[in-house]
Amino acid sequence: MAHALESVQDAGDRLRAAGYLPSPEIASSAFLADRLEKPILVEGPAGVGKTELAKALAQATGRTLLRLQCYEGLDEAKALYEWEYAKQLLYTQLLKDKIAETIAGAGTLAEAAERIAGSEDLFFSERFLLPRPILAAIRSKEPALLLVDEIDKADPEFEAFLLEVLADSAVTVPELGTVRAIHIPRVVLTSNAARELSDALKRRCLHLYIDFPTPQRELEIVRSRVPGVSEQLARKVVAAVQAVRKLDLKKPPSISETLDWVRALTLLNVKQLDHDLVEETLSTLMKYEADIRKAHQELKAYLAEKQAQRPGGGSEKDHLH
Amino acid sequence: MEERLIEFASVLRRNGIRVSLSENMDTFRALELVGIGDPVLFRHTLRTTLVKRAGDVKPFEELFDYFFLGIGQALDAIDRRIMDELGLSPEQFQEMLEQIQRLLKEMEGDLSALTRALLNNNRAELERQLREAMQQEMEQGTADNFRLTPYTRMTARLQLDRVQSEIERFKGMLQMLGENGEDLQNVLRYLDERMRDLNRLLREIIQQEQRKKGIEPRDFSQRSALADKSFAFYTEDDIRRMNDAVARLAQRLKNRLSVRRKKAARGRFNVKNTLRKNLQYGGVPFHIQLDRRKKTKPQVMVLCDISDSVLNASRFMLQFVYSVQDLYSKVRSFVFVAEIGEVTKLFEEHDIQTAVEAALKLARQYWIEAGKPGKHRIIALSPSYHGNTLLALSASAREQYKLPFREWLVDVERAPAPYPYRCGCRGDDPKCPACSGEALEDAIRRAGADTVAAFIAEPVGGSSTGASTPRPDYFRTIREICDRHEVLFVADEILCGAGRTGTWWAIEPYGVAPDLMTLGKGISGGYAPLSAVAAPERIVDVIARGSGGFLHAQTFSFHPVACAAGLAAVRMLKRDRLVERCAKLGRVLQRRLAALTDLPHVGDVRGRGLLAGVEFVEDKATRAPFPRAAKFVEAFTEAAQEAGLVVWPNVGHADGVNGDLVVVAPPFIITEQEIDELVTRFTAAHAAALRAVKAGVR
Repeated sequence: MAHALESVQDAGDRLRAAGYLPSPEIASSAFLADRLEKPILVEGPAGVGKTELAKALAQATGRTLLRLQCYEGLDEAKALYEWEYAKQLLYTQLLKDKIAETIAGAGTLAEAAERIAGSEDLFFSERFLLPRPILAAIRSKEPALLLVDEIDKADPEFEAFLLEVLADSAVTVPELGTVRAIHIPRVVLTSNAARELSDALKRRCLHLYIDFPTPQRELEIVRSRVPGVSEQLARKVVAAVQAVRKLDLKKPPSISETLDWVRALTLLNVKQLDHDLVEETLSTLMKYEADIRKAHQELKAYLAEKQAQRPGGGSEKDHLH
Repeated sequence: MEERLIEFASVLRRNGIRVSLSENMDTFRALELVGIGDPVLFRHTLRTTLVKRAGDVKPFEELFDYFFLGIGQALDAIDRRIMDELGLSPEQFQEMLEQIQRLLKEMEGDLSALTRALLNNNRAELERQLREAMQQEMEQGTADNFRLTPYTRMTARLQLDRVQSEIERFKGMLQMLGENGEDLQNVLRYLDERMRDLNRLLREIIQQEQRKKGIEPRDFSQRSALADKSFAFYTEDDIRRMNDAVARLAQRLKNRLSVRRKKAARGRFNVKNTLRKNLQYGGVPFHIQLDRRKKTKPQVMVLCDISDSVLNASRFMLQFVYSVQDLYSKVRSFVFVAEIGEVTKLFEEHDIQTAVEAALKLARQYWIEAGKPGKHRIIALSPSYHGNTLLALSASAREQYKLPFREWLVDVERAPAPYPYRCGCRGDDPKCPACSGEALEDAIRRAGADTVAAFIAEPVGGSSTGASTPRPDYFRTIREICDRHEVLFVADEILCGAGRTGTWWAIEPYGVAPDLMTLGKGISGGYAPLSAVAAPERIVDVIARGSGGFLHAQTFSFHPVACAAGLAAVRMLKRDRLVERCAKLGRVLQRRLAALTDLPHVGDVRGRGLLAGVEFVEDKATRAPFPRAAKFVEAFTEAAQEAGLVVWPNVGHADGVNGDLVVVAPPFIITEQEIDELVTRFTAAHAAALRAVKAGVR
């Protein structure tokens, strides 16, 4: 069953219980979205936890998660509903005899057509309706949370179509009439801000911008997501990644990449970060060759400096500038 | 509270963040749920409901600080301070304020809004007024930016002097009403303090503004300053901001354009077509037909100038290009630097003669900076012609031009030019020093190899040798000799360059590269006086590392109009492939002209591409020229003009006094029929000239 979030504090607690560590902003936005019953548009760079937030939110509010992944060329058929044409035709073929029977007694063509029309509802009924995520969310008997992932990849036409859904939580299927939601689904839209969304869509949503986390929060996230990690390693890794983000990279590493890196390091049973190790595992952190090279250079320069300062010290990279 | 919010929304709107009424409503509802107690939560709530674009977050933060925290805090502090100064308790203070308000109601006359706000202790109103004035000042008051300080401007705008006089009036009224001593004194002091504090507040606001100026979203003054700054002075911050601006521009472009959906690769199931195609199977869908829809994107061509002068701005242009690339199916981006050749630094001069001078001067400066100051002598060919300015004239072998200026000219060592027709070997001897290039070795030795700076020669002779073309291995020999003795080889391509001989540069077929090149004439198509010196990096670097500059500054150097003409001409040569055309039709021309040697008195026809020389002799066997007195070539030129043919005559190349030849150099767009016509007219002119000379008319 769905529990509405009671307060901002409550929202934060429940999200934490679901395994997501929210910042106060995220918690307040989640709370507002739930209570105001408005969709929420989550923007931010790749990998900061937008989709995770939706999943955690679903768990926190006890709703079923329905996911719609957007891509270029996504249209109504794939998003809303589709008639199973093949099935319909198949049935037509198989019931050919029965159909012949129905129109057997008909005198004129018009009468035959009338009789067929009478059983139109057979072929455009629930049986042949293929509900897609949005319709499923609306018709869902359980309270649902609809995640529209990467809406910025879809076309502007698709956005226009979404407006009705978001505004009224109702969908019109010409053959079946208007379908209203039994439980108003909560909607979470995520976007990488690759393109600007239409104003009309934005009006209907609350907006949340998730940026790269602060060091403390990142540390917390690492601790909670990678249970076996040693405290020292986690600190070092977080410091390193925070510093790397300051460099002018094509794709700054996000929190999910930090987690990957930590997992990789724990897998290699590493207690300390040293130069060679970092070099080898840098590719889990950065996905572009140019970025890796840049980080390497900085790393070398910094390590040389550090070693000059601390004669006995090993190689660590705390504040890479 | 609601009023504040609506006002805040309008502030956001004024700063480019679009906030609609429905969003305001959302904010109200949200605040009802959340309450306004917690400032952090308050901020978050406002942000979630009002700001819908990631890019607006930063301006929102600033405006939020400014609006909700900036002035309000200041006003609070002022009140508290006044209370302390007057030694009043909060209740007494409140009483006093109420008293003032009552009196204010009784007061006649019009008080300005600001005064009212001040006296009524209406903080919200006061804030609003100040902020509004500040905003107006920023938008409109840029004219007097330099003369008056911001404070003066703001005082003028707020009409503070009026406020002052009104407060005086109020004070007078109080005294008239006969309030008792201490209370009155307190009130008067209060009023003075308020006035003083208003001024202080104003200054503080101005300071705040000035601090925020770098990050204000609608900052016209700042942006215009950026545009005026020279590129050389861009700071990193400027560059970052420009990057942001370009990114935003690209984003806006992306949003404006809609992607045309004409046909998609995979589409919906097309019932109609499927049925139609499957009628033979009774409608059972054996062949599924889909809506074939594929997206097409417009093509875009982007041109980007990345030449040195606009290097910084072009960086952003390139970024823009890459940003919009995924919008289009085909982006063809072209970057262009300098059109002319592969050599790098080009010093553009205004007129032709000086190019040669410049080249030779460059050679000289090079050797000085390369540590060999003793190398100053120049070697040139004889016959030759490089120009009429003193150094060029010195290099030229034209005695008649030099006579009056002997004393000023420089001594130039000579080597005989590769001139097969007039050479002693008659072009037959492979070992002939003049024709093979070995003569240069002797000349260098004569001058003393340590003193020779450069050797200058035209790859294909101009008028001085009548388009005489050296042998294929000539310049290889020259190159090797120059390398051995560390002499710079200057190729004078002013006449024979720019495609005239069928290749971009006449030196090309010889397979060697000169050290310096002079260009002119054809590089602007003759449309503007333009010449240039081309030097490779290795020579320029020596000077760059040394003195840092080529000591050759002229008024019209790098003149943009001339250079523009040059660029246009070169582009046209490239676009219409005129150099290739010249080569092709050059061959035709040379063939047709070669037939002229059958004519009487035509000694030699030579040349390459659309550059040909025809030499007239009195005796073909001995190659003896006409006597100068006969003035043959003058007669020919005139006759040619009358026949409708323009040629360029030259005299004296045979022995210094005698010799008649004409150079034929038609435009690159000549056609084959026109070439035939050319030859016909030439023949006619030749006949007419002969007649005239024989008749002794001239």
